[in-house]
Amino acid sequence: MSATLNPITLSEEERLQHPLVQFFLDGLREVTTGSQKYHIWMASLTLLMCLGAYAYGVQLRAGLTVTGMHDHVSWGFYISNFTFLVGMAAAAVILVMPTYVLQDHDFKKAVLVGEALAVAALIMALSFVVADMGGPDRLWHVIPMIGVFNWPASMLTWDILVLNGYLVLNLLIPFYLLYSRYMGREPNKRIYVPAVLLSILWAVSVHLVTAFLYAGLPARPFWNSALLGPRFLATAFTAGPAMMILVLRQLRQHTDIDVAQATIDKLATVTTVGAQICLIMLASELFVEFYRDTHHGLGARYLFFGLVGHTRLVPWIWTSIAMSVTATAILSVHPLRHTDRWLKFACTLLFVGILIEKGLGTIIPGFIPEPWGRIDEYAPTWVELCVTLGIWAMGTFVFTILTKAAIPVELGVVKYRRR
Amino acid sequence: MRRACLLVLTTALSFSACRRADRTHASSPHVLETIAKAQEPNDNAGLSSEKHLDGAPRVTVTGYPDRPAFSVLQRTRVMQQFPCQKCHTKTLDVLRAQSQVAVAQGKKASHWSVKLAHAPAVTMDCWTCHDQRNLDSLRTLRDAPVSFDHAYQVCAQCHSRQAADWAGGAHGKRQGGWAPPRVVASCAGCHNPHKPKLEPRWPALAGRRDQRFESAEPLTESPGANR
Amino acid sequence: MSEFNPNPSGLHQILSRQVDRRTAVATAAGALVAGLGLLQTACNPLAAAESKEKSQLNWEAFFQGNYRLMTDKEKEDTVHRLERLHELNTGNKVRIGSTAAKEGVLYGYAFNISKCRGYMDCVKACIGENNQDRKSDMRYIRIHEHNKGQMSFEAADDSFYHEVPAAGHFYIGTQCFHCQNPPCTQVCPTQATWLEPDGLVVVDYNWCIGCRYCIAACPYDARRFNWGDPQVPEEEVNPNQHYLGNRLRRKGVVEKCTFCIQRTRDGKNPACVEACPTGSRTFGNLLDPDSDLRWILKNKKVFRLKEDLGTEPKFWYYMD
Repeated sequence: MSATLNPITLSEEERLQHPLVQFFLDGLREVTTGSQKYHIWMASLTLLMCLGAYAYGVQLRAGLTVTGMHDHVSWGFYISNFTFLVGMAAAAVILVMPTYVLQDHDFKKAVLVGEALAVAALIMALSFVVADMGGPDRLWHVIPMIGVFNWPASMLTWDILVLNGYLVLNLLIPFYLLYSRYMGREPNKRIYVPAVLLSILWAVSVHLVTAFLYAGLPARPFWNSALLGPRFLATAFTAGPAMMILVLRQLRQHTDIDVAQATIDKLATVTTVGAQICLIMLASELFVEFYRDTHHGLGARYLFFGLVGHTRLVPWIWTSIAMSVTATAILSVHPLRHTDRWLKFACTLLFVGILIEKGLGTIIPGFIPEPWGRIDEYAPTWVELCVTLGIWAMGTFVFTILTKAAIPVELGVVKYRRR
Repeated sequence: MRRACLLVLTTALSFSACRRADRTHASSPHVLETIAKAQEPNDNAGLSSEKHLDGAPRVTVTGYPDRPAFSVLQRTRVMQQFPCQKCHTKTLDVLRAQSQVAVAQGKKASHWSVKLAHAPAVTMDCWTCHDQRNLDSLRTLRDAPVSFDHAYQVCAQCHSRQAADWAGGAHGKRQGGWAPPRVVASCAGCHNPHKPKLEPRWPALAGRRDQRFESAEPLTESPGANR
Repeated sequence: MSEFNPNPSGLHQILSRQVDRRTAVATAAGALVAGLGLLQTACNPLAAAESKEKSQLNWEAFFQGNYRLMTDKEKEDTVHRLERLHELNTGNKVRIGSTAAKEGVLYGYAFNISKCRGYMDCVKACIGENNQDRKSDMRYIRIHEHNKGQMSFEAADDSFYHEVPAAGHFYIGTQCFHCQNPPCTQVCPTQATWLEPDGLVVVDYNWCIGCRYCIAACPYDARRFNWGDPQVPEEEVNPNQHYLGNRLRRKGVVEKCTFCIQRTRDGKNPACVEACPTGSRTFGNLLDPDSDLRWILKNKKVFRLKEDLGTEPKFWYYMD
C-alpha cells in the first residue's frame, strides 16, 4: 500500500468518469480554457460563423437566386472552395506517410496537426457541398437503402464515399492514438498501421475522385482532360504542405508543441517539388490549349486572355501565376528555403496563388463559354462571400479545438488520472 | 483481420442490395440501330390523333401511292369565297360581260383585290390555275379539272419537290397529333396561292439578353407582331 | 396584504401566496401564449382542419420515394396528394396524370433549318404549356440566329429581337434532345432523372436534391434550374399536368423539356410543334416505319448536333 502514492486528492467535482467520457470532458476543459488571446480568437471566429449562418438563412429562404450562379455557370464559389479544400484534406497524408510508414520521427510530433487540418478541411468541404445544394432538406435521398444511391455510375456517389470514409479515418486514427496516450498505453501497431496505410491510399483517391467528377464530362472541354486529376494532386500536395508549414510555425510560437526544424525542412522540400511539378503541368496545359486555336481551347482562352471583351478572370489568373512562379523560384533556392522569413513569404504566396487558381481558375472557366458558345460571366454575391467566410471560420474553429485539445494529450500533460 | 474482411464483405453486399432504378429501356443506346430494326407495322400503342382533330372535315390525298393513306383538311368547307353561288346569283357569262363593261368605264375589275405575286407574268396568270369555264374548279396545265379540295395537285405541277416533301412529312403542318390518322394542312392552308411568300414579322418574344435577371421585366411584344 | 387575517379563505390563501418575479412573469407569459392559441383555434376551426390536412400532406410528400420505383398504386396516391395540395394552396383544381410509357413507342424529333424563320412562337407556347417560371424568364427552347456560312454556334446570337428572318441569317432551335445515351442521367447521384422506356428523359422534381451535376454534364444546355421560387400567375397555369412533366415545381430543383409528356403520351404533338407556323418541327414515333419522322430520316439529309460525344440524341436537323 505504500506504493500507492497519489499526491492528487480528488474533490467532489473532480471525481473521475468512465475513461472515454473523461477523455472528452478533459478535452472540453482544454478547449474552454485559455488565454485572453485565445478567447478573442474563438469569439471572432464565432462572430464570423454567425454571419455565415445569417447569410445561409437568407439563401435558404429565397433560394440560390441570391447567389451569382445562373443556368450557364451553375457551379460557382461554393464548389470552387470545395474543390480546393478536398485537396487540402488529401495533403495531410504528407505527414502521415513518413511518420508511420517510414518511421521518420521528425514528423511524429506534427502528424496530429496534419490530421486535425485534414478533418477541418473535410468538414469545410462537406459544408460547402451542403451550402451549394438546391434542396438540402432532401439530402437523405442519397443514403443507400433509404434513398437511391447511384453508385457506381455517378462520380458524386464515389466522392461521397471517399470523403466521408476519409473523414472517419482521420477521426478514428488520431482518436485511437491520443486515447492510448491519454490512458498511458502504447498504441497497438497491428491496429493503427493498417489503418494508416489505408488512409494514405484513401488520400490519393479522395482528390483523384473529385477530379474525375469534372474530368469525366465531355460537355465541358476545359475539364475533359487527363491532366486534371494529376494537376489536382500536384496542387494539393503543394498548397497543403505550404499551409502546414505556416500552421506549424504558428503553433511552435504559441503553444508548447515541439516541432523539429527537420520537420519544417522536409515539408518545405515537398512543397518545393510540388510547386515545380505544378509549373510543369501549367506549361503543358498552356501549350495544348493554345498551340492551335480550337473550340476545345475556348474555356482556357476565356480564362487567360478573355473572350470578346469578357475579361473578368484574366487579372486573377495571371496574379495567381505570378505568385506561384515567384514562390517556386524562392523555394527552389536552398538558402532562401531555409530562411524562416523567406519560407513564410513563399508559402503564403504559394497558398494564395493556388487558392485563386483552383478556386476561380478551375471551376468557373469550365462553364464559359456555355455549350452553345454564349459567354455569361459569373461573380459571387455577398451571400456567397459571407457563407464562405462563415465556413472557413468554422473550419478554423474546428482546427483550433482539435489542436487545443490534442496537443496537451500528445505532450502527456493531460492524462487519465486513476484513483 | 477477420473482422475487417467481414466488414468489407457486408458493405459490398449492402450496395448490391441497394434499391436501384436501373435502365429498363429495351432499345440499345444506338438509335439508328434501333430504328433499322423497327420495320414492322406499329400500332403506336393504340394512340390516335382522332380525338385531337375535333372532327375536322378532310379528304383522302391521292397520287402518292408510296405513302400510307393520309388526308388533307377539306378546303372547300373553310374557304370564304367558295362556291361562287355563295355570293353570286347570276351566271358566269353575265358576270363577265358586266365586268368588261365596268373596266371599259374605268372602274375596277371583279375580285380586283386579288393581286397575283406568284410567278413572272410570262409564266403565270389567273388562268394558269383557275378554270375559265368554271370558277368553282381549278385546272391542271393540260386543262384537266381539279377540285379545290385537291388543290395540292395543281401546286405539285411546278413545286414537285415541295409536294414530295409534303407527302412524306418534311413540309407543311400536321394536324391533330403525331399518331395516326395522318391529317395535314393543304398548301393553301399556310400559303396564299396568289402571294405565297411568307412576309417577315417580329418574333413572339425578345431573345434573352442576360442569364441573370435582376428585375422581373414582363415579356413584351413589339407593335409589329401579328400574334 | 396590509391586514393580517388569521383565518384566510381558500381564495385568499392562493392570492396571498408569495411568488417571486421570475415565476410571475413566466406564468403570465405561459398564460398569454395558451390564451392566444385558444383564441386562434376558436376563431377559425375550418382553417385549422385545412392546415392540418395540408401539414399532413406535406409531411407525406416529404417522405415519398423515387417515382420510378413506386408501384402504380403509390404513383396514384402521389399525384392525388399533389393535386389536393394545389387545391388547398390556391383553391384551383389541376389534373396531374401519371400515364406510363407505352410499348412500341420511341419518340423522336426533326427540325427543318430551312423553314425556321426565328418567330419564337415555339418558345412562347412552351413557356405557357409547361408552367415555367415567369420571374426568371425560364425557357427550355433557344433559337439561335446564325450567320450564313457559319455553322458555329459561338458566332450565333440567341438574344436577337428584330424583324425576322433577317437577311444573311438562318435559325436553329435547340432544347433537350432526349439522348438515348444521356450523360445527365448517368451523373445524377440519386437517380432523380432517368430515361423512360419510350425515350423521354424525365426528372422527378420531388426527388431531385438540386446538386446540378446534370446541368454540368449536359452538352446541349438543355436543363434549367429553379434558382428562386418559380412564379406562374394563377390564371396562366396549365391545369393539364403530368407528374414527370409540367406540374408546378418548387425552388431548388432541375427541370427541362419533356417533349410535352402530358400531351405526347396521349397522342398529341408537343406545344412547340403545334405552335410553329412554318411547319419546321416534326414529332413522332421512331419505331413506326410509316411515321413522318421515319420518312424524314430516310429521305432528307439529316444530322444531329455534337454527335461525336456519343450521346445519341433523338433530335435531327435537316434542310429542304
